[in-house]
Amino acid sequence: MPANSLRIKGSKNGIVIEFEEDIGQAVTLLEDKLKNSPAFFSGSEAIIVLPETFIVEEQFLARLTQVLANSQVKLRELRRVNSTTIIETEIIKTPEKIGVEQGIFWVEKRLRSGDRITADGDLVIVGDVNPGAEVVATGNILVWGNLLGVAHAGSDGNEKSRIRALRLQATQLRIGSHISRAPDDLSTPQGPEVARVGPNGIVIEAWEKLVTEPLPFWRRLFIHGREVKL
Amino acid sequence: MSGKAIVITSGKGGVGKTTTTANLGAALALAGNTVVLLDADIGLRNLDVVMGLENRIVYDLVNVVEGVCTYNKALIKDKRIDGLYLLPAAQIKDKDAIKPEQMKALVENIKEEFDFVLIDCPAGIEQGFLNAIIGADEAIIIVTPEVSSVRDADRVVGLLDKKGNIPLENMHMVVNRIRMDMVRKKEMLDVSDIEDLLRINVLGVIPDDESVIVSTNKGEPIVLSSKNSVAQAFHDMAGRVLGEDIPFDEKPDRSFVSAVMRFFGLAQ
Repeated sequence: MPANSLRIKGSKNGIVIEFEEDIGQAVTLLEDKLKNSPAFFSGSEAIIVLPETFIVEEQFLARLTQVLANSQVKLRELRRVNSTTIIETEIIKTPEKIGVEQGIFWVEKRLRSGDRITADGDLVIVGDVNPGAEVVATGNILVWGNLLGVAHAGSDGNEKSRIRALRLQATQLRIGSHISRAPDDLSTPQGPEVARVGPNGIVIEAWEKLVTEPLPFWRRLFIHGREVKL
Repeated sequence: MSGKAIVITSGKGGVGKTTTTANLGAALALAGNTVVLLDADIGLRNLDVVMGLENRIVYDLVNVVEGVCTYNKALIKDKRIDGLYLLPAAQIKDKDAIKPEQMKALVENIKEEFDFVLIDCPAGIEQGFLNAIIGADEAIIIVTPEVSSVRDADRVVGLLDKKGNIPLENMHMVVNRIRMDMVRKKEMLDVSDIEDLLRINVLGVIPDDESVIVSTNKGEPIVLSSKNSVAQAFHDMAGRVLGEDIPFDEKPDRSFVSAVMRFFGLAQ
C-alpha cells in the first residue's frame, strides 16, 4: 500500500486530511489510522481535501461519514485541492440544533437539476429548487423561493409533515407514503402555498388559509385550493 | 501576457456548441485578437470540418499531450482570418486518452501566447466534459429554447460550479435557434423564461436561420460569408466577450394586427 495516498496535517480549524488519487485505498488507510490512535482523533473536526478531478458520489460520502463517525470525528468541510468552494452536500451535515429534539437544516443555495439534499429533521431552502433537483427531509420542508423539482417531506413516514413554498409548482410532491404529481394543466399559483396530507391524498392550499378541514366547494372555486391527486 | 480560456458547453448534444465556437472564434479574430480553437471532442472531432480545415491536419491534441510534438506544431493557421488557429482533436483515440491535469497544463501554456482559447466541449457530463472544463476561466453555456435543453444546461451550470471551479459570474449563456415569431405566439420559450431558471447572464441570442446549415456544410464561418442577423449576433457576442456594452437587438413587432392588439391591451 503506498504511504502517500493519504496526508494528515493539523491546522487551527481542525485536522486536514488530504486524499490522493486512489480514493478507495485512502479511505481504508484513514480508517486504520483513526482506529490506531483513537485518543488523538476523537472529538476533533476534520477538513477533507480531495483530488481536483474526483467525482463525489453518495456511496463515497456515506462510507467517509461512517468511518469518521466511528472514531467520533466531525466532518467540518469537504473540498477540493486548490479550491475554496466547499462541496455542497456537506453544508447540511452539520445541522443547527434548534430546540432539543429536532434539527433544522438551513440551506441557502439555488438547487439545480441533479442536486439532491437530504435532511434528518426540518429542511429550509432559501433559494429556488429547479426542475430535476430533489429535496428530502424526515420533517417539514420550507422553500423560500420557487419549488419546481421534487420534494419529499416526512420521508421516514411522518404524514403530518408539510411542504411550503413561495411558489409551489413541484414536479412531484411526496409526504410520507403519499405521492402527487403536478396537474397536467400547469396553473400558476397565486401566492405562497402549503401541501399536506388530506383524507384523499395530498392537498395544496394557500399558505395563510391553512385550516385542518378542507375548504368548502364554492370557496375552493373562487379563492384557492388547487387540489392535486395522483 | 495571459489570455482567457473559455469553454463552450451545453450538456445536451446538437444545440450548436461547435458552430458557436467556430463563429465566436472567427469574430474575435476579426476584431484583432489571437484565438486558438481547441477541439476537446476526442473521437468525434467536428470543429475542423466546420472550419473547413480538415485536410490540413497533421498532428492533433492527443499527439501534443503525449509529447509527440509541441502544440505550436499542431496548430493549424486559418487560411482566411489572421490570428485564428485550430488545435484539432484526435479522431482515432477516445476521451480517456488524455487526463484532466494534462489538459489543464496545455490550456495554461496556450494562454501564455494567445488572447483567447475557446474550448469546444463534447456533449455529456462524463470524462470528456471534465477534461474540457478543467482549464477554463469562463464558460459559455449554449441552450436552445426547448425544455430538455434548458434542463441539461441547468445541470451543467451546477456541475461547472462544483467541479470546474468556475464562479457563477463567469458563466454566460447563449440562446441559440430562437424564433421570434414563435416566441410572440407563446409557442416557444422566451429568453427571459430561460434566464429565470438558469440565473446567469445572457451573452448572446442567435436567431434560427438556414444560412447556418449552408455555411457549416461549406466549412466557412458565417461571420465571414454573410452579413445577416446570425452573423451580426456572433459579432455582438464577440463584442460582449471583449467587454463592450452592446444592447440586445430585439426587433419590436410592428405589424398592424399586433398594433391593434396592443391598443386593446391584448398584446404587449
